[in-house]
Amino acid sequence: MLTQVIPAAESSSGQRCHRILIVDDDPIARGNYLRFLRADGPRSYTAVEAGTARDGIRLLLEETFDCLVLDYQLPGTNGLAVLESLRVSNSGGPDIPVIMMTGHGSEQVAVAAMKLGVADYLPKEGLTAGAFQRAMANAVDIYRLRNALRHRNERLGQLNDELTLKTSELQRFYQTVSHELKTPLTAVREFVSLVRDGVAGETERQEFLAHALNGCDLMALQVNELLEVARCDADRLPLTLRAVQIRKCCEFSLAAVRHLAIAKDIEVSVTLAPSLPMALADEARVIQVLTNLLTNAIKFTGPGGRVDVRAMPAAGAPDRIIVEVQDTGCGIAAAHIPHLCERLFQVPESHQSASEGGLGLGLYIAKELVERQGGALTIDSTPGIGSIFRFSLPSEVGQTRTSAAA
Amino acid sequence: MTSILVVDDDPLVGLALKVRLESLGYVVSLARNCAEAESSLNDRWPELLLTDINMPGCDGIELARRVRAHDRGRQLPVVFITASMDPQLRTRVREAGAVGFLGKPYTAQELADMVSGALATRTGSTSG
Repeated sequence: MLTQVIPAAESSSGQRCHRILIVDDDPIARGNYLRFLRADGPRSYTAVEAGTARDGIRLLLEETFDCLVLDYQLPGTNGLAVLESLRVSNSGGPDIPVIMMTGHGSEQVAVAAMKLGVADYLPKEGLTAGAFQRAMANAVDIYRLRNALRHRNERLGQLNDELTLKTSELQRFYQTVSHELKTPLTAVREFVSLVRDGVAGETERQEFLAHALNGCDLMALQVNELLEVARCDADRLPLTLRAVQIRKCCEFSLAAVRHLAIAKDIEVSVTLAPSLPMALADEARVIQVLTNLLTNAIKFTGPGGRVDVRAMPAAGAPDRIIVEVQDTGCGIAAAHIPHLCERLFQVPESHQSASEGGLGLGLYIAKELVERQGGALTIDSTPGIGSIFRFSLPSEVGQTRTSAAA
Repeated sequence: MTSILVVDDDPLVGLALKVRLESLGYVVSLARNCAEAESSLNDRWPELLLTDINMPGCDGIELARRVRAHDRGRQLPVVFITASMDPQLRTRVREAGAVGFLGKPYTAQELADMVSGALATRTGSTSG
C-alpha cells in the first residue's frame, strides 16, 4: 500500500487546484500519471495515490476528490467491481468523475464502464501526456458544469416551492377579501331592493336607505384599504419626508375620529411632551397611522372608556419620537399579538362582523407606513385592562445631526 | 304560519333577510351566532334553518350538525347562505345535510325559491 501527496506544478492561470485520486497497483503507471498531471501547464492538480482497491475505496469515502483515476486490472479485483461496490456503499457512487485505465481493453469492459458512468476510458498502452491531460480536463470540467447545473436546478426547485406557497397565500387572500366585500354588498343590494319592491313603509324606507348608504361607505373604505395594501406590496408608496409637527397630526386624526368617540361616549386626550422635536416623516401618512390606531382603539373600547394619545422623545434616544395610543378596551390575548399586523387578521374573540369593520388590513397598513418612515410599531396589551399601540419616528433634530456629521 | 330561524353574524344581512322573509309571509327569528341560535331553538322549533357559514367560533356547518343531533332536528331542512368562494364548501354542506345553498349577494326571487323549495322537501318527507 502506498499513499502519498504529490504537489503538482503551480498553476499560473489562477485556476482552482484539483485533487485527484490515483488507484493503481503499478507504481510506474502511477508515476506516469503524476508526471502528466504536473506537466499540464494551465491547470494545477494535487494527487493522492492508492496501491490497492481497499485503500482507494477508503480514501474515496473519507475524503473529497475532483477526479478518480482507476486502473481496471487490480490485484484480486477489477475497476468495475470497485465502482459497483462504491455505488452500493455510497448510494449512487461517489459524485466525482472517473477515468478508467486499462492495459488490454476489451469492448465489453468499455461498455460496462460507460454504463457505470465513467467519464472516460483510456488505454495504458501508448498513452501520451496530451491524451491524459485532455481526458482529465474534460472530466473535471464536465463534472463542474454538471454540479453547477444541479445546484441551479435545486435553487429553481426551491424558488418554485416558494412561489407555489405565495400563490396559495394570494388565493386565500382574494377569497377572504371577496367574502368580506360581498357581505356589505349583500346588505346594500337587499335594502335597496326592499325599498324598490315597496316592502318598507315610509320610516323603514329611510332606515333601509341609510343601511344601504353605510354599506356603500364601508365598501369604499375596504376598496381603499385594498389599494393601500397593493401600493405597499408593490413598493409604490410615495413618501415625502419633511419636518412634521406631531401636534398637528394629532389634531387632524382626532377630528377624523371625534364622531366615533362621541357615539360611544369615549374621552380622547392628547398629551405632548414639552419641547417635543419635529418628526422627519410624511405628514399625511403619520395622520393616517394615528387615525388608524385611534379608530381601532375606539372600536375595541367599551362605552364610557378612555383613549389617551401621548408623544414624547424616546428615552435614551433623543433622535427618535415615540407616539402612543392607549385604550381602556378589552385588551388582546398575548397569543394574538404577534399576528395583529398580519394581513386580514381579526382577533377571533372580537366577534366583529364584516359590516362593522374593515378587512383586517388597518394594522398591516399602519405597520408598513411606520416602517417605511424609518420607525417601528409595537403593541403592549393586558386582557381586560387595555392596550397600548406605540410607534416611533425619526426626529428632525436627530436627522440634521446625522447629516451634519456625515 | 311557517317559521324560519335565520342565523347570520352580520346584523345588517340578518335584518335584510328577516324583513324580506317576513314580507313573504314567514315568521322569522334572528340569531347572530350558534349560542343564540340554540337558545332560540329551546323556545321554538322552526320549520326551516337558514344559516350563514362563516361565523366566528362555531360556524354554520357545525350549527347544522348540532341541530341535527337533536331528535326533532333530524327532519329540519337546512339552507346555507354564504359569501364564501371556497370551492370545497359545496361538498362540505352537502355532507352536513343541506337541502339548499344560496350565494351572497342573492336576489329576492332566489331567496324565495330556495326557501319554498327547502320547505317542500320537509312536507314531502313527512307525508311520504
